[in-house]
Amino acid sequence: MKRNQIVVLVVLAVLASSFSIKTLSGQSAKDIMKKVQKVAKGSFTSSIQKIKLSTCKYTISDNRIVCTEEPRNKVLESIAKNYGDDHEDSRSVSIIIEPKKEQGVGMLTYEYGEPGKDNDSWIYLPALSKVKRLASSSDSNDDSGSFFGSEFSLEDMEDLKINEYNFEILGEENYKGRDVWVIEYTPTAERAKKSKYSKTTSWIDKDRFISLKKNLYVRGELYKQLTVSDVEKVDDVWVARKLTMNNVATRRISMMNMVSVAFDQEVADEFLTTRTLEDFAFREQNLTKYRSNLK
Amino acid sequence: MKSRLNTVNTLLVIMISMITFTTVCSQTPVESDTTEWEDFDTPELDFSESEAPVFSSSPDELVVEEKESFLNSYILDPMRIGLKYELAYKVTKPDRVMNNRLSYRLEYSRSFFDHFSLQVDTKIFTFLKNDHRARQISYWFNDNTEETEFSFGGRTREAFLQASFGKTSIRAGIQTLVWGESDFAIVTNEVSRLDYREPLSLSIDELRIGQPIITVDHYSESGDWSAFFTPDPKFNEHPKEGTGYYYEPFNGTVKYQQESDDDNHFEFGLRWKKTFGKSDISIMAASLINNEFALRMVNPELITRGKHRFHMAGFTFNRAISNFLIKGETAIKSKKAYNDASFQIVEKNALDASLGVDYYMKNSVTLSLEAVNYHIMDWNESIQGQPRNNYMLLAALGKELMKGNLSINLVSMYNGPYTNFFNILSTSYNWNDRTTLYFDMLMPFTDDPNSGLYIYRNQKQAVLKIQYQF
Repeated sequence: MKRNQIVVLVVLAVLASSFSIKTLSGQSAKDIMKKVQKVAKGSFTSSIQKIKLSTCKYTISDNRIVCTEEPRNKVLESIAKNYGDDHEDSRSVSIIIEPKKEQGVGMLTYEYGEPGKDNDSWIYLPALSKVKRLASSSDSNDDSGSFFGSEFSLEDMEDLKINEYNFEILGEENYKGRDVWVIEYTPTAERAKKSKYSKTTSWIDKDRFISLKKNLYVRGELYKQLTVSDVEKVDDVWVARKLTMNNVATRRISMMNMVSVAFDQEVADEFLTTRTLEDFAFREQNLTKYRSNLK
Repeated sequence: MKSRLNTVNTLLVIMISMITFTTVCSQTPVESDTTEWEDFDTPELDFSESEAPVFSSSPDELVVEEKESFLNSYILDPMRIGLKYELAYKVTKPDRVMNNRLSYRLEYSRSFFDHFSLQVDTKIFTFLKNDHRARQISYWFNDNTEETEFSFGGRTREAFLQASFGKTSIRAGIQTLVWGESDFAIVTNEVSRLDYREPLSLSIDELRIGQPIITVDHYSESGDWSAFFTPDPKFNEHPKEGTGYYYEPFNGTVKYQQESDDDNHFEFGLRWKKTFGKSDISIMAASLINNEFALRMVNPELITRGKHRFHMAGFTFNRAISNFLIKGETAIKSKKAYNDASFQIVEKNALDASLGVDYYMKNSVTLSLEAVNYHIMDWNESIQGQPRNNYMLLAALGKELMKGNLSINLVSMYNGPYTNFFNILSTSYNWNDRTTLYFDMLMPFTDDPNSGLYIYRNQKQAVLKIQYQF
């Protein structure tokens, strides 16, 4: 597990979140992506999630993608809260529920929107009965930053930093019954040093400002493909209940299911501290309350 | 003998690092399989919901919440069972099986009545044929007597009740208390006792033995305050006579006798901890009974073992700077017990310190370096078996592969001034979500008879373990 992994659950939750706004003509690709980011980041203050991640190696049979091995499953509970006028900062706690052999491992992360400011992360390992601070990660250009061992990398889960990319509208089309912009973005020279991907193509829902699909390229070749489905509104926030990341290079696939979720619930700042990692009674006392609101 | 204990102490704590490494190390890069991906037609992979990947358990099942039942809520969900088989083989002559055992671990964590919780972590061993601890049973946890083909042992690491109200939490029962930043050294981490019965064991959950403690934690704006009280502190466990690691420095010519006294020997202490931006700082003070008995020779055939109190004041810190984590701790310990040439107790103050750095590199590699020094103040040559400065340098390299399913760790320790090296190769592989395979190599090296590791210099071992948890 890596230090930044948990940070991004909140970002994940709203990867496809948006609100319905009238499509404006003549928008630049950058304007569109700014809007995607703005609604994703600013549409809620806190989130409570139970997530299941399933990963397996696959083959294609009868035009279907079929696992060739028993999937690895992880179930997490994550509580996150945004801070700042533009929700630029966030704090999150995530606890592993399954598999049993990792049960109780917890991670606390403070993420900062300020450019150049590293995250703060702590991990609790039940085997050590100890909370440990972790060093920050400055590079995402590394598959080592796998999100809990899945095909989602940390970079996939990070908030897109608009100023670190160049955007271009490739066209407009209908994707699975929805009008979309097809936008390609490439990292700036500075960002390219940290990014795994040489370019990304994203299918943006014109009404909801959601990315419905992404093709991620490495050295110009398709490397991974992200698709979202089961988009629904929960607590007035658009959520993609199911995200699938297909690594076409390794023929491994990960499915992320939002088992249950709630937004804008009251989360005490005290809960987003190292106490939650090490104080089981305190944690359960609060989680019980938060779980009752999950949908 | 003291020197030996110090070294063994260090060896044990090294093992902790293996576990820490495995868990916090970065994940593995995916090996790009470019030759195969070109075989795919990209649109074919643009699967719709009707073409969703077929997991062995239907994805639809994944979103179904389990129904709350008494069995799930009170028994199954809060419980974890671990079954483990371990085979350790000493590869140097005379070669032999050291460990051949099964263990059954029960962990249970459940909250109730909103503010309370019960936590248990206990383990039972079955020592099979040729295991060095397979001894005749005269009572349940005995491994003192004759060799046999089958016996039992056990340990309880935790069994406590916790109450949490507002900003305060209280725990009472069998527990371990862990202080300090170091993953390797015992500088401020002096409270809980250790299990030295198998000084080369890599099983993290078997390193520390629980004892009855009451702890009170208070979380406030001024920092986190943690107080503890141990009414009847226990002592480190050592290899029993007849077992594979047993060592008797007097060749069996002396008898040991417990000193009788009626004094109170409780322990107590207080720690304050606070986060300042990229740093965590803690300050602690404690009045402790040494986890080792203080030994005193009454006559050439009799040594008494007594409880010895010392006081400790310590400071720990860490600082995250980009991919580096710098960490350190220091503690001054007053009136620690040592032995002079006539094996009488000499009290000296000690100043222990460690300074280390963790570096998280790319490609799932983590490197840790740490320097540790145990210093005896006002040391003189009459002190036996302990140098003025007992120092260690440690290097640990961790690498994860296959999305974290395969973990490879190397730890190397140099200890002076009585030179020895101790090297560990530790690997683990997550076969599936329940089963983990382990393979370890333990390689101690020393030619210095003064070294505490000298008695284990031939204990080069290969260890195979398989663990199933559900």
